[in-house]
Amino acid sequence: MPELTQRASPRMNCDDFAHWIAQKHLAIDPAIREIHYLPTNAAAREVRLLEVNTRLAVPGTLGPVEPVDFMPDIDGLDFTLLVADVTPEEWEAIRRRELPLPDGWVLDEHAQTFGRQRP
Amino acid sequence: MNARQQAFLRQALSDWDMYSNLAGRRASIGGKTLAWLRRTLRLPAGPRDWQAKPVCHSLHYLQMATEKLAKAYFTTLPKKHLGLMKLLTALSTNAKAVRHLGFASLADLDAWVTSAAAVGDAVEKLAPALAGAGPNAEYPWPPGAELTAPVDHPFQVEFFTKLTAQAASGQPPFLEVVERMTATLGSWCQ
Repeated sequence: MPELTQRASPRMNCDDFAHWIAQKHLAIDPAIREIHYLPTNAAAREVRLLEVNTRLAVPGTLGPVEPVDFMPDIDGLDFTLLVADVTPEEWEAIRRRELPLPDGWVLDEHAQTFGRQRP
Repeated sequence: MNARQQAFLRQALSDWDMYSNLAGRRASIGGKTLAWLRRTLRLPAGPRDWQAKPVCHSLHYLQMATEKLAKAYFTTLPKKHLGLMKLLTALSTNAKAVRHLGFASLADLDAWVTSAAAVGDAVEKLAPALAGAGPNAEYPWPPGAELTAPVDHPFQVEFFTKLTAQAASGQPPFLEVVERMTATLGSWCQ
């Protein structure tokens, strides 16, 4: 897996890019607690991330879960990056299957979780 | 840009103009704004002096301008909050923005984003909905026992200390790059 200090490489596959971009987002935004990468059902060169964001928390309100196109523009890379922010409460509801994911998004055994790297 | 993005950008430009006036960015001596000099030297100012207004008002417009910039950047707008930190995060992988924002490479822009993250987070937390029980630029706090008004608060710890630290990091100052964002965003977003 590529480390955060490395640059994005044209040889990256979706899994590598997801790991690289997740570590970058975690490094930039202190409110992102963890990021879940959901590869199942994604189109070729499409990376789907659920970012658990503590900044957004409004107690007692859930969803909807809506992805935003992050439009990465890096030489040699042609990935589509879709990011959906969820609150910690929403993430728990997604895990319990009480809050639906966006159409076509799947949380299954292929999902990977990226957390903060310890110093 | 679609029509919705253009509308948000127009409002961001106007909010930034209000911020610039209220923060005294258009009045300076030796590279330091009059507002900064007054705050630092604790100088009094006349009641008709825009720059003498409490800093909460300029910070309110700064928060609004950056939130609308973020909403102008993305092609779709989720119902959930979408603010400056999302824009900064997206910027770190946007090669189209590099030249417009005054950087030589995407790596340089990425390094600036990292340097600016604490200030961006502070700007977002100026909004009442994201400030929790702490200071915000609009309404008295804490919720349920509102005894402190934004006009009475210097926002030194919450904002200005972080702004000064970022500027001292050697990276281009946060506000200069945000000003370039407002001026050029239409050229480098979809």
